[in-house]
Amino acid sequence: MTQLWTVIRFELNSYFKNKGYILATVLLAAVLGVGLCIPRFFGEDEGTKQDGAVASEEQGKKDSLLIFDEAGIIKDTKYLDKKYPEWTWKIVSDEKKLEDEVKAETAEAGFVVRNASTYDYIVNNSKMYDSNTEMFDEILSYYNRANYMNQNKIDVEKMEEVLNTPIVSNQKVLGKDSVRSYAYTYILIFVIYFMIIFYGQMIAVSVTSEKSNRAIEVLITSSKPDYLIFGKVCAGAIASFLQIGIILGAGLVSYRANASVWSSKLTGMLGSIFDIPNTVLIVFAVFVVFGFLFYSFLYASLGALVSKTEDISKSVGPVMMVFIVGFMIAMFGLQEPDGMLIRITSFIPFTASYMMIIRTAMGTVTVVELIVSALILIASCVLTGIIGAKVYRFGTLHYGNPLKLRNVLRRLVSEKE
Amino acid sequence: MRLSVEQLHKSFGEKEVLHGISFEVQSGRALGLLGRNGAGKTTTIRILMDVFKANSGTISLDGAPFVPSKHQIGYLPEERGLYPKRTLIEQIVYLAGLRGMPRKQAKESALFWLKRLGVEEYAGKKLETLSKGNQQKVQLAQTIVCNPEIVILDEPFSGLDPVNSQILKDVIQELIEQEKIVIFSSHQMSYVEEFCDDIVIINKGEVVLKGELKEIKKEFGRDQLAFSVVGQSGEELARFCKEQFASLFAITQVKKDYIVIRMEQGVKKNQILQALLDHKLDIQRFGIYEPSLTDIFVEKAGD
Repeated sequence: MTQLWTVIRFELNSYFKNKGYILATVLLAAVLGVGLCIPRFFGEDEGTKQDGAVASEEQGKKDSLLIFDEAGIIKDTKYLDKKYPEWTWKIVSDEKKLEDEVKAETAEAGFVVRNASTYDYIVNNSKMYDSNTEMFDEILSYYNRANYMNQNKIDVEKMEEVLNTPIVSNQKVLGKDSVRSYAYTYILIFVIYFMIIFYGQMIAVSVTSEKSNRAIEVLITSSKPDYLIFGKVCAGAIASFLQIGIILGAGLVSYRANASVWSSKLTGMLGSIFDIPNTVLIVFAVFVVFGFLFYSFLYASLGALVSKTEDISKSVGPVMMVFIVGFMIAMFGLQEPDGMLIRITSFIPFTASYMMIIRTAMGTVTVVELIVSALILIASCVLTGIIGAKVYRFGTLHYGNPLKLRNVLRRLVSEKE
Repeated sequence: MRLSVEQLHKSFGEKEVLHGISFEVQSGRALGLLGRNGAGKTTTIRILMDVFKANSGTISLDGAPFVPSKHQIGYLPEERGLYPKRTLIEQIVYLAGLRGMPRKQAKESALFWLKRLGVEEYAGKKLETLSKGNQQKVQLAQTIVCNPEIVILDEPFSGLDPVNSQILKDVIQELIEQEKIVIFSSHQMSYVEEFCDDIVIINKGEVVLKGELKEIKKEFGRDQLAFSVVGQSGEELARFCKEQFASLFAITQVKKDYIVIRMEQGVKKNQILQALLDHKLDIQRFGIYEPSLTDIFVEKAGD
């Protein structure tokens, strides 16, 4: 055990002295921490916002919108000024004048009303997300309604009130709120993806570089290969969890400190990210730890099969492919957390980490299913650790051309017999 | 202490690479483990260090089964390398830690050996910043940092300049004097001759020669003489002798300026000397032939 700890300490030191590791941790923690402080510097509380609403709207007034009404439907701009105060509404006397002003960019756009149901929209440069026509559809509809009501002696204002009575709907979620859990599930999946893909690769590189610089010759005669591989994997796990912990911790602390200055809408969204239920956190902890170890052992043993770091991608390629396919399934699974594919893949060790988090956070999963999946993952992890140690021992003593995992396993089996 | 290796057999898959290796080495006497590339030296060393398990055979220390993990073994592999991006002290202390040495003691010992080998000033520097010769010294420091009972040195002199070679020679001599078991593997026969009392030559997985170097040389030189004549090359002399003295001796080796002969049974040295003088040959050198280790190695391990 002392040897194992010696390996872990040495490997951890290499992470902690790695400028890339320190820089990434500090930068990401700072970006997240400072990012969540932004509303404190630029935001404003609700009261101030209400008081200053008019002023702010005045300041934020957009360009003019022109109307030339050859059908005589829109007689004045009273309604428009009241309903759409962010625009300056102007009725012009002829179509050419309207076009000239739009072309000269003294007005944002213009509407030429041909009759009660037809108008032309005049704009200098059309934009991708221009909603002026939708707004004017409503305006023209209103004027048509108002004109009809006036003709029939109906009180327009009262009628409009009836037609536009605001409806308030309150949702009561008895099960899981997928809308709220979507954000944190998405982030947790990305955390797993990032940890495994980044650290798995680093572990593989660490193993291969010991072969390429021949340090392995001394190492295997100084310690048991089991300690070397387990030490590397454990150090990778500690370094990665620490890094993720620091980054997310910085975000959480900053959010807590600044929650009051976020607008209620944003607080709700951010709150859902940081307000992860304990069950999800426990499932995440178990599945991410064993999922990480499972993949790390795979990466370490695959790293031992090659002697040059440039051959690593060839060696770990198939496992990485499986991992990425799992990630894609998980991304699609966010839309349908109780789908058959998600259910099946939540029991496969390669994908269980993603899928069980999706199922726990957004879908339905029983405790028995969770335990069975966790046991399969743990057993696979132990098995990969044992086989990984043997492959590592075998691979580290073979230099030259990359070894094939299949051939190594065959040799190990035949040597055992 | 006496380390005995008995009848080691090792196969990789279908192929047997060691066919019954046996030898002995005792403390205070260095053993030269010799053989051509691929002869089985490294495999033997790895079995000795428990990296591989032998298919059969035993290794014992003073008669008791040898358990490598219970002893400090210093190994300098032929395929050398450490961590280029880590400092000298960091990696030597790490390797000492893996061999069970407490951290504080490991640091003291590492600094001692770095100083002894003349690279103390680089203790806090990364390995990659050192010259090849100095990196070699760091390798040696990691080998002996744990004060090992058994020291295995595989080609320790490769890449060293004469000054550094002398430092290394002194250290190896000290280890031998400190009654360590020293196994020395090298293709540079002059170094083996300098340090080793005993040798083992392995060829194609078999021991083809073993014993005390002095005795082996004596045995190889038995009934053999070497002589040269002024103004004659080895080949000219060999041609002349073949015609004139076939009844007295047979020529075994033709060198650039001398020949080595084996006396026929019953023939004495003086008879040969007299015969040469009778033929009015201006003898430059005449004496008992003592073969070099290279000659012995080539004869035993050559094709």
